[in-house]
Amino acid sequence: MQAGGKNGALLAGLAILVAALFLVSLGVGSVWIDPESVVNALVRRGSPAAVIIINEIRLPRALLALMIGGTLGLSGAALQGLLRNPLAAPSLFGAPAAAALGAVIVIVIGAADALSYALPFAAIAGALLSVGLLVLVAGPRASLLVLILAGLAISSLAGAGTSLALNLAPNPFAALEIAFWLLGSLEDRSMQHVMIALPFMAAGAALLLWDGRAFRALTLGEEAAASLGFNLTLVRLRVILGVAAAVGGGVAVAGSISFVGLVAPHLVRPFVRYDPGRLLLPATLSGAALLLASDIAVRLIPSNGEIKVGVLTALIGAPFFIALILRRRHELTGEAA
Amino acid sequence: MTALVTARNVGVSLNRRRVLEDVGLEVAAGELVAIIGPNGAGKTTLLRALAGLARATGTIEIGGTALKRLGLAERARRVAYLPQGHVFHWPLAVTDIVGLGRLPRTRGSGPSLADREAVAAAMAATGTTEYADRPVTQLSGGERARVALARVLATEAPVILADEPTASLDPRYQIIVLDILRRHAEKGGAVLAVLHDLGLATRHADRIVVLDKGRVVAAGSPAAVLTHRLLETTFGVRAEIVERRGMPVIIPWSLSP
Repeated sequence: MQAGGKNGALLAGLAILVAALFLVSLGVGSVWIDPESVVNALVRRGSPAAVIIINEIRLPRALLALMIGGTLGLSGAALQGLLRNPLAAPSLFGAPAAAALGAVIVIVIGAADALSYALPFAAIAGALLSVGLLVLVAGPRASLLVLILAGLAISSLAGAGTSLALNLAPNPFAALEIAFWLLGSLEDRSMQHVMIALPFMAAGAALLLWDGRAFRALTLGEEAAASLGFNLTLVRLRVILGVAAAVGGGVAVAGSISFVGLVAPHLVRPFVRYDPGRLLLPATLSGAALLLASDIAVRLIPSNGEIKVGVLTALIGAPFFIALILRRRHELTGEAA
Repeated sequence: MTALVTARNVGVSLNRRRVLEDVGLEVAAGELVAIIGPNGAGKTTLLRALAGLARATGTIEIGGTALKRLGLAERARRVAYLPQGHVFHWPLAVTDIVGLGRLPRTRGSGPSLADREAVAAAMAATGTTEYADRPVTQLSGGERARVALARVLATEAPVILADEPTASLDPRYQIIVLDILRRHAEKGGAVLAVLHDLGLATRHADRIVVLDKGRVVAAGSPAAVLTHRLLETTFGVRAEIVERRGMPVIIPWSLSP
């Protein structure tokens, strides 16, 4: 049965890791600040320069990494639980791409600048469309192949739409700005960005954390889960809305950051004995740790101009995805036959 | 005898096609009833309707209460449903899988003493205790079938609806599974099982309900129901029927002309 204490130790360990990475993230950059000064600066003590750097520049960045990474990890775990498939993740199904399309449309038609609430709403609408479409296509007995093909189609469609928007952009600078934003970055974000994203992410997270018991029951398939007293129509709806809100909120302020939702649940799944219900919180923390670490790494990797964190997560995540496919090759070809 | 499952005039349409029409049956406490019928007769649909998983017209009662009046959790506490195929999507340990049967009886908090006891009893009854900690996905077909059954028993629901619980099992496991279901009935439960093997149905069921093209075409004791005529008209086969120990033994022999 459930080993609650064991999960507690796992959660505590992950929380400590996330807290440590959070502090490091505040200290690392063009000016290095030691942990003690970081903590002092957070409570507005110490050198005024450090106080400004920490609170105005690095705190929003670290907070966004924490929030976006966490909700992406949670979204991945919830989608994987709902679809009973370890390869399910928002990014593979074009949710970020569709969210980006929604946001880009709003920017291109000039309806909003990058700091308005119209952006997250547009991004969430895009994500909602893609996740809804996906779950619809997947049907009650989602085969892996169908899911991945549907995801590919949705991603391509969203990508094409975004290209069209870039193509028709009013001026080359706007196009360049959008292109960079699409790469996904946490650089130069303010507390205002945090406040824009926060309500959507909090709502999304609340929806996604709701159905742990249902995900556990879904281990037995949809029929058995329904017979155990779960209303799967509502579960599906909550997951779709939750993923859309979480992903859309994140994309609206940080562009498209992919693969965190795929990788984060995998890293902790063995520690919860593969229980898709108990996975939710650890996957959230592992997603936060992953994005915090990636965002620290982009500041440490020597390059001319900072590497965008979305590029880094994709560079790490895609090979990880390939490795996963190779491991499950047997099953995949079995389904294709 | 009190009827734990009552169906009257039940009809189900799937994709605007009438799959069940005017189906009636009763299963009393202590009974193991088999549903037989050719492929596509509506057997699975009937079980799904009785479990509340398919939208049905007519009257379905569980323990005297209309199924539609039961909340989802209450329904799950009264009716346990074992779907075909014994699917497990994640490599959970066997105890954790069996523990899923307790979901209708727990609310968020960890497993209670009653939960632990029910799981242990279900695993003991199905002989699955020895691989309690093994990932379910590593087990053989026969072992999985018993784990799936243990999950259903752990709910401690009076009614068990089992869809082909013996499919793809070797003879030994077929008997083991039906013995477990029989014991559930003996303890005051009601079991309704879809079976394809006429021999197993005759040997293990108190009564047999025959479905064909969505309708009940015969119901009663195995000896009364399984006649040459019925086997020819519903299954389209000629069978050898011999009597052993007061029971018919049926061997489907050839297609009827």
